[in-house]
Amino acid sequence: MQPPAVLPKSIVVPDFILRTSSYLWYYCQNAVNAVPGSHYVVDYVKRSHQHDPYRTVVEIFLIIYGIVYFLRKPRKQGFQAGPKLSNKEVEALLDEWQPEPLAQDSSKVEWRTQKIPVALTSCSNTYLDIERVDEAEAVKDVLNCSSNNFLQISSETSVKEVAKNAIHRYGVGSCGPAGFYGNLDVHTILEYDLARYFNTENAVLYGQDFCVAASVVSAFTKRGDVIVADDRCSVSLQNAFQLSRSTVYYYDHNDMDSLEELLQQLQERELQDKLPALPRKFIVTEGLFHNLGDIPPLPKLVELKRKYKFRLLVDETFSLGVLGATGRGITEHFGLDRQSSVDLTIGSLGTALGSSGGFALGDNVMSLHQRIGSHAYTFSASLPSFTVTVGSEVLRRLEEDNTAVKKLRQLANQMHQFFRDDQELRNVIEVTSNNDSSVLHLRLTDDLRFEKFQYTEDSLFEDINAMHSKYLTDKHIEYYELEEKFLQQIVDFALKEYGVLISRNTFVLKHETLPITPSLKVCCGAKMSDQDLFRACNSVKMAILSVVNGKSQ
Amino acid sequence: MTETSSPPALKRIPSSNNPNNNLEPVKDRRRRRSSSIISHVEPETLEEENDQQMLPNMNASWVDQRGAWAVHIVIIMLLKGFFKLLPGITNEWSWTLTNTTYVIGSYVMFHLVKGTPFDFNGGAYDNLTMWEQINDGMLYTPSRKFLILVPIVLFLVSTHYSRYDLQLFLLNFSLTTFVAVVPKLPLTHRLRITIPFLTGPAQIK
Repeated sequence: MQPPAVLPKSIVVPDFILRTSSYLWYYCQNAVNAVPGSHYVVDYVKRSHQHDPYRTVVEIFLIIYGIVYFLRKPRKQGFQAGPKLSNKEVEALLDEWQPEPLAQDSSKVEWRTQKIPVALTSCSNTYLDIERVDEAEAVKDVLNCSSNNFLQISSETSVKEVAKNAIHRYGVGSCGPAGFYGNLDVHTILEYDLARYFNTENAVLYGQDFCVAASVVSAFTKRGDVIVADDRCSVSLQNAFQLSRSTVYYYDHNDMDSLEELLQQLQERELQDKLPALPRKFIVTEGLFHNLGDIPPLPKLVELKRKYKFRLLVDETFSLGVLGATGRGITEHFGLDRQSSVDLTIGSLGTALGSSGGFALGDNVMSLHQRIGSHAYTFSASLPSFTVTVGSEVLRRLEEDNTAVKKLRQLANQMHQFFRDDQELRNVIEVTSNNDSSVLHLRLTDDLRFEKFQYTEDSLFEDINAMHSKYLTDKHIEYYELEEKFLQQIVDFALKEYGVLISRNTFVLKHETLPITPSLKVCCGAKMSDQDLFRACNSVKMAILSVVNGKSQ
Repeated sequence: MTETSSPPALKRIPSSNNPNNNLEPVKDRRRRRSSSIISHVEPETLEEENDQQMLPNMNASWVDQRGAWAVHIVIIMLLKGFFKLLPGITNEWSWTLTNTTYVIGSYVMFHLVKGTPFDFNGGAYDNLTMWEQINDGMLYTPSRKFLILVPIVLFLVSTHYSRYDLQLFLLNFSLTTFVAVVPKLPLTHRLRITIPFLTGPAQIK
């Protein structure tokens, strides 16, 4: 027997190997031939074999791999099947399992809901009737120092007439998203009015003001984009940052050196990283801080954003209609042009303008992008027609005369003057808000807080953080709760003894991710008389002193 | 990988004394460039997975449709027809060109381009190739089986209908194996190979 011709003669193949392989080959051929249709396979193999067994081997490997792959069951990468459990074991595990309660125990926080006043008459008036705890506490003719309708233009009868006419003409609302039969002519008119009044190229109306930030910020940023924000931003912006999925850096509150240092470091890092594409970069701050009432140094912010090529987004929920000679917000306050200095402004119709809803001001390109890319605009119902016409009417009146803004400023200054200059309150409370803010923010001094409740802002933040890292949704902090109750006593005292309604600043601990401090808010409105304001200030002062000195129980 | 499972870290207290704290973001959602030459894409965090499932991924979902399967066959036939019509091309070379075009084209489409052309998922797919996006990352699904069998069968058919010399055989075989089959193997799923000065950073933004 001769070895096959493909092998060189020099390789000696033992005779028995040749013999057995020949037999094997013979029987294999017979077996293959016995299978019906096998001659197709044999024919294929013969033709592609081309007198080259190595090629055939290579091809067979490919075919085998294909078959093996084909027979595998679908699974996720890295998936490992758990241990097989018998029915008994499953039962045992189920018995062991202690489900958490579906709803959290509300007894600890019930006092908060009980202290919420319910307005029986229009809550944007200077005087109103309220009740609490299901008619148990009813108070008449209360001086309203907790309304965000600062200019009180929309509470005038002639403006209400405008709202009535709109209802007669359009009904109460289309209940459709803006792009889906939701927008009427009045919506577009208000957008024009807003853009003209605040001097931007365009404006986009939203159905609800709290969602505007969350929707606008995430319309423009995604993973990998950079947001540099003030570390005392309100919860609405904090939600926005989380939803935008971008990388967030915080600078110290209103500290421009801290911001510049951060921007510098970010710039250096970006140069090092050599990213394939430039990220979108935003500086985010508030025009008038929701939790503190102070205002950021805008000119410096604008300078920095130009220097480091960031965009500037300002949440002006509380500053539009309040700051600036004609209520055009923080840009007017600092004498800047809004179109060229602030890229995106978020505003609310529900605060000084006294209607409902929110809006975003910006250039044409950014506005157009929001109309198709901003979730709250594309998917949420648009505003009812009457809130929109009221918004337009208020803007028209503001344009005609700015006495309401002037009066509001004068009252705000007086109110701040009163609390800042008071000697008796000096060791008890601290005023954090700006003199021009229509909301006065009062908080206990750090010393008093530490003396009474043994904590500081920093330690509270550390505790919230610790709970946050354990994914706790029920964040109950005893000393924080005590201080809130203490502040509520001041609110109650002012209400019961003097008939003045002020409020605590509300926080939802579950959502807060930045340092917070409990505080009181005293709001003024343009329709208040000087005597009203003086009475309110005096009452709040007496209430604070009485509660702090333990006179009321 | 421990980072991805830890809860969202918050910035430390702003007034704390460590000056370097400044540059720690609240939550770093960027994908860091790996310093090693061979690395795996990190598994998705809960948040990323959430964003991926939020809306159907239209960049990858069409691959499952039977029409999309048939298109592979049609494209291969058209390619073969086209290369056959070129003047002065032998049968071997037209098969080789068909194989090369299909294999390289599918490599670009499935394994080179990352992310999606649509911005529905907050950038949650930015770092994944289309092959990794198909079927939400499940392996051994019918589409994957089909897509891996197509280049194998194409190679076998081409060797059957032509008489490759050794060079052409090796060229076709290595193209099929290393450009079409190996990148689709479960072993190389979500694997990134960084070649200095040639490949860009292993992350998009």
